[in-house]
Amino acid sequence: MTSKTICILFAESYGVSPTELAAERTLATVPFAGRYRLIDFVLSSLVKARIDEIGVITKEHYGSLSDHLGWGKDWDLDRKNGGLKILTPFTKAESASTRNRSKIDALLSVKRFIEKADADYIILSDSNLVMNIDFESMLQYHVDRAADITVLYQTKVCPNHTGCVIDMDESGCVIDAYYSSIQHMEPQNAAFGVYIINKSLLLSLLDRAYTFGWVDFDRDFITKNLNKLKVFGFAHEGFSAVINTVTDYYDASMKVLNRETRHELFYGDTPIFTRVKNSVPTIYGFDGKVSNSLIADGCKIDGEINNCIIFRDVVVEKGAVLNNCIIMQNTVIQSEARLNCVITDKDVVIGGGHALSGYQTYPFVIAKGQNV
Amino acid sequence: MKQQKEMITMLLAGGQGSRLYVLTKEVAKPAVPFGGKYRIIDFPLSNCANSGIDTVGVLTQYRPLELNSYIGNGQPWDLDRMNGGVYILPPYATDKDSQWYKGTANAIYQNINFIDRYNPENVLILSGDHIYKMDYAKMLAYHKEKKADATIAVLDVSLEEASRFGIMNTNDDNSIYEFEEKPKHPKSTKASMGIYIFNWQKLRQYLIDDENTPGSSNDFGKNIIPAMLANKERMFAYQFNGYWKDVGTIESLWEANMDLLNPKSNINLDSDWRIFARNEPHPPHFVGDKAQIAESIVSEGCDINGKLWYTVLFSGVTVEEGAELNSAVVMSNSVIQKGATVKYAIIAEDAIIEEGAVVGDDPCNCSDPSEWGIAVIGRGAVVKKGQVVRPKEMIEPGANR
Repeated sequence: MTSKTICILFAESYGVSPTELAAERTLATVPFAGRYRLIDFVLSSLVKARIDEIGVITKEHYGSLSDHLGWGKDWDLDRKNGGLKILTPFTKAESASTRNRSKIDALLSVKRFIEKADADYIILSDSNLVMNIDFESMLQYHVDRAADITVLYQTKVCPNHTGCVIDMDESGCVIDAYYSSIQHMEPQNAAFGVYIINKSLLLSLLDRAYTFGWVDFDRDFITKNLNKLKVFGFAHEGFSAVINTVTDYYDASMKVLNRETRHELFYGDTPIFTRVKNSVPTIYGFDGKVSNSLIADGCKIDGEINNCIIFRDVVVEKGAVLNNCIIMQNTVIQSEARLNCVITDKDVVIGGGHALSGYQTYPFVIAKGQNV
Repeated sequence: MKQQKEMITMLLAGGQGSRLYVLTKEVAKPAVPFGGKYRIIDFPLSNCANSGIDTVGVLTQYRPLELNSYIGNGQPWDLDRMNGGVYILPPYATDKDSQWYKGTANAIYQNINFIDRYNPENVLILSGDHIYKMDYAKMLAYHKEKKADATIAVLDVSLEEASRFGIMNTNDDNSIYEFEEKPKHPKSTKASMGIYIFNWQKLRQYLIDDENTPGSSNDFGKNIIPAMLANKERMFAYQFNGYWKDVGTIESLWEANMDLLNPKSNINLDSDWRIFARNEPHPPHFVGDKAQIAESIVSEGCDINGKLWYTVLFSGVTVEEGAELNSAVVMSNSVIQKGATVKYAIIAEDAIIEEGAVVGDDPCNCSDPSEWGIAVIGRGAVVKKGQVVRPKEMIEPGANR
């Protein structure tokens, strides 16, 4: 790769009301699949494409993000040149009320970082994507087409899609880009919040955004400029999930229990990297009974578990029965408790004998640290 | 000029561990995997990290490649330091000659320069073949309190076992008056754990004298300790109470793994005194709908659809439907195929036990106890469809059976 590329990740999704699971953390650090955080997927894809200068834009309560990422060591991103940088909100006191309302605001606040970067291309990406993105091919595609902006999309039936939809001509050139509020039951070209853009173009668009008060990345940067810019769509192949709501989260989690999906996500040519914690291996007691479940290290299992995702250091006592649940780190399920379609956030205690249930399409979420 | 250190560690990791047979054909004993996600050397290294020791020299000799790459920059044990950290110390050539480490004492002797760089008051000598959790800082405090020249950690063993160990005979104040290597008639039950703290300047002189003694085996137990005792140096026994196991044999390595499943064994890996390890990124393990797991330890990346009973699985192991494991230790990335049976066995990394094969057996099914033992499958070996590996049998690494 001759041209240098850097990446800016958004730790939050803008314009979408956040899930309960992101109430006290960034969307990027919502725990996923037993030991990961959402941001691990896009970071691992970037590491695979040897993009080693990455800035992560934060908005609020980013403690969990800096805890998780640290200096980027676990992704091999603790580099002398570049590496991983957390870009914290930086605003003047008088403009505090407008800080990071939108992606464009967020980019304006890190304009200096963009200007200083020694790069021709900039990848802009959300971090709530559970998928392996082939950035290397996408970048090659962008360069080959001499595109101004390349948008990642996938043609699929996706009724809950909240992002932009794109129409393209035969060459892949985007001729229309719009939000669609109707629930579509037929396949559409759903755009992910992943773009490659030339650095000089991004800076000039940001100047205009400042001038005209633009706020929406897709609408103002792309749709408004389709007649002036060469915008191309790059198709994503394979599994993808965008996590905005609890339902998105629950559905994507349950899909990981599927063998093919799991193998595609985790056993590709590079692993998914995450922060290393030194949990002991999981120990099963005499009465443990587990089926079709994903279980992380450090657990003590003595109850019955079906179709569940169990994070690190969870204790499931004798006689407890869990069906279709997602149980996060350090949760204790005491004996004889019965849970169905429940998501417990970190450090929850479910008292003995309690029965709690949600529904597949409306899982019951128990917030961090609650004692039920 | 380096800042003076109160104590640095020299970890003897050059041993071949020949009694682990096929398991140490390709790796040094300290690099042998243990307990689902660890290697033996993680225990002394983590003990150092948890005891606040920031400088460790690891003396390697036998098959060091894997051990070296495992230790790397020492980051998993918090030993990537500006002043200190972990150093791999292999034998080296000088302008006069080049020689291997002739014995434990000679290995330290050859690295006097390394230790002098830190000018430590004390040196902690450890070996890389024991499973235990110990706070060396407490031992150092004891060493200083006694104003000792040497402090040797000891463990109470039964009188019958005592003749297998080096035994310290002590006075009432725990000072050592005699050391007996594997005594036929032990006078005490204080067994040396191979953990020593020496005053560096004292030890330095003894190492030089020992090197100049013709016919010496250059060994701590055989030469240095007796020489210091003979000169009436202040030597004390430091009593350790806790889990400690020499995993130098197939049986003891298997037992130590099984001890993890026994709450009474006192080993308890899951405590504030964490054992650190270099981890590969694996997803959580998956348990299929045909799986039955009881009294077992399972690590990340495993995919289980068979029956596990008193079994320790390392990361990335696959157990297919209908396979049955009992009292087995299966190391990373091995595959136990459909309907295979593994009982009382150790399976090293990357091995494949094909459909319907049988490895090892329950001692109850063995009429002659001398015929029974743990079956061992070497790294990368394949046991073909329907083949039987008898108890006590060992399959070489990479072999096809």
